[in-house]
Amino acid sequence: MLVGLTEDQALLRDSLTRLLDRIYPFETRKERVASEAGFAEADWQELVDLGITAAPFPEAMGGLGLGQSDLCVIQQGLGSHNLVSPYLSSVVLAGGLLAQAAPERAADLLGPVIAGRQHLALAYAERGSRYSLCHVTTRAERDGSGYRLEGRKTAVLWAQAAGRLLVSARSSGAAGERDGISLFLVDPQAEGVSLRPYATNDGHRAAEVFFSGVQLPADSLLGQEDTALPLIEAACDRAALALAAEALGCCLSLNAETLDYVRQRQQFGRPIGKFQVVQHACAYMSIQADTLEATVFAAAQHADRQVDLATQRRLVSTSKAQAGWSGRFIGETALQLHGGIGMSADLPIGHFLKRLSAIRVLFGDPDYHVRRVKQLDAVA
Amino acid sequence: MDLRFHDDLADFREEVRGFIRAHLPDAVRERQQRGMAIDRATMKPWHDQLVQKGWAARGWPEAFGGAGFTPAQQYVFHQVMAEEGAPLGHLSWGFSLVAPTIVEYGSQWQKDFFLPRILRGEIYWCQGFSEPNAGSDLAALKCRADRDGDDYVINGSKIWTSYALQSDWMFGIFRTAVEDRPQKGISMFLIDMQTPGISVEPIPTYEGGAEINQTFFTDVRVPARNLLGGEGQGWELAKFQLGRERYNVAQVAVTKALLRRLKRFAREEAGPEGSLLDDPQFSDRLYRFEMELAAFESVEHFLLYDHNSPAEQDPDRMTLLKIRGADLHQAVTELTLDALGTLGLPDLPAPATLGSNDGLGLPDYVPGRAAEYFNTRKVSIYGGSNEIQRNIIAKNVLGL
Repeated sequence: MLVGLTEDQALLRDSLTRLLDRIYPFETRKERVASEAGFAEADWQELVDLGITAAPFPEAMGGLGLGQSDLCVIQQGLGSHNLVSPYLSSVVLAGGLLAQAAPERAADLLGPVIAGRQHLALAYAERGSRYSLCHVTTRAERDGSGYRLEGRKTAVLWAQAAGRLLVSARSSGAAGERDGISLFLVDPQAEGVSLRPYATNDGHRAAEVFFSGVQLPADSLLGQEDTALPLIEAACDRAALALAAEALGCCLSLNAETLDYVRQRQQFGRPIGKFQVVQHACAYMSIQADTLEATVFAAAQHADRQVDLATQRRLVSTSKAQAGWSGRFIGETALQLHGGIGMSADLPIGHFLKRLSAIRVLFGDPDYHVRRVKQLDAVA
Repeated sequence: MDLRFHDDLADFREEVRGFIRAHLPDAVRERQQRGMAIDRATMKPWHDQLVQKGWAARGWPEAFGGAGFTPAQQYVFHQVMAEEGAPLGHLSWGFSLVAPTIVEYGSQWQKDFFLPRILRGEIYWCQGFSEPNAGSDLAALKCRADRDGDDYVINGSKIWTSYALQSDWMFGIFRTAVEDRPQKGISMFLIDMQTPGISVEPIPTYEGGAEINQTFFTDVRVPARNLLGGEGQGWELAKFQLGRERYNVAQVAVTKALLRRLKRFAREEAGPEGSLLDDPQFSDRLYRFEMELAAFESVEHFLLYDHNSPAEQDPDRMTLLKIRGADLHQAVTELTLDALGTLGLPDLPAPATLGSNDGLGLPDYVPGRAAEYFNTRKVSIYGGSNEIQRNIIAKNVLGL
């Protein structure tokens, strides 16, 4: 470890680790992933009791008012056990956006989320939008006092578990424009909303969500009309950083598993960890994890001090890209060093690689974040 | 990109292409192009066509019913097969590993019994080499074959026996004696998988595959005539085969086919600023990969096609084909996963039936690609890991 944690953070990390050790060993994970829902509400309630659903929200909204560094400690802990849950999509992403977009209603709307009675999901991506957040073609037309929603959203994380959807839609302008995007609160049971749910290859859940003439009351608009994009960008940045922290947890577990394995696996009359080719691979895995840890917590600590937005975005991009690079290297190398047994479904190795591969593309792959940093530089 | 520095096989190339286009059944071609498994029944008509043409056994001498192709002809044949979407790995162990070993080391009975059956595609083979404690260190194998009258009695287990459940016979190496060096006292047997005492336990793989297994032997009686080569000669035979396996898994043609499919997808899939192929970052990566593959193809050309290459007769030089072939095969699946982005997230197998709709409106190309990436991690592990292969180059080629 490179980053020193505060006493509270160390406490948080230790209690989360103890909890997950108890309720979410690898065998349980297999059962949960194979179940219809992909996770168990009973497990969720234990996490709620620990306070992690309240963690990122201000105290005025019933939260604990913790910062980005604390959130990264939580996400790292979840990643270390490869927990499959809607935490990131519901609490961090959608919950975080709701708190920023409509603070006056957040206490009411977030109450059930914090208590663990309801999940949220954010529908922002569209087919063909790749990683752009402003390529929105889903339309919200004024209709009487409310709106009429028409369009389709893709890869909506954990939509099937959500009691409420937050949906980005175009209230004016054309796809690709920064202005004209609004945010709506949508009941997934409402007439005209349909879901095609699926499991993702890392064991999580997502859905394609279709809106066909969905009537929205006036109060479904969250925040100001046409101005939601910066809020959505900020929420996705927080999620991207949180995912990078989750990747760190995955990487550290893979490194520990791999070190264990190369110490005990005997070939040619000695542990394979005695061979330089294996040692160098392990050394580089450790360097990759250290680098990821440092970038993630540097970004989080800067966020907690609220430095300027451009620096903040640059640090988030660096962390997310590094999560992609470190994640692929560590995931693939861990599997390689395990040899044939690394391919087994009964070992956690491949499942970490799957999660790291999903994290790599969620909220922008490394190429996307390289481009974003280049653009930030061009503007400055 | 074609490498035809002195392509005296141009006519042959076109003859092969014409034959494949005329006779490859659509069902086989479509399944192959979609990366789907092809069962025995679907494959049989195509194999029968190859048998009829005399092209089923490309590398065997004509005396045994083979095509008697030169290595260069075999190379061209496989290139064209991949280009035309014909399956390459089909029955490959029987044709490229077992049969050449029987031709070289087998008894008359083995030649008479096995070669015609292999030729007709009647025997599917699995390989019994690795054991739980003998992977990279293959010579540490312990599964015993003890002589008892006219039989050998086998006890122990083999691991990573791909397709053991679908296979008719196993070719494997077993310990017949404990001597001063672990490489001594190993013998190769051909074993009927229906023999009493054999049980197969599948090892599900993390990407959802069910092709690999552990195979257990309890007092399995194998007739002595199924010993291939002499007792104690198994290590020599295994090395003979592993050299050929390295050659086989280079698979540049397969990687090229994957790249072609990826390029088509990148051209057709629209993003916010045009197609993915219009994205300079992605297209730079794709073309860089295409160039690395072309460079590697030149290596393959000199090693496999050019009789003037001084490396042609040096099996250890072939090791670089396994290493680099695995690297590039894996790299194209990585690039594919990056190209798919979040489209690659749904956990869907390649469609079982053509034209089936998963309800998500994904391009046909997408389902199965992520699993392909996860599954392809194995190519730098099996047949001797890339680490072991680099040791071979360092030791045997470079003399370190």
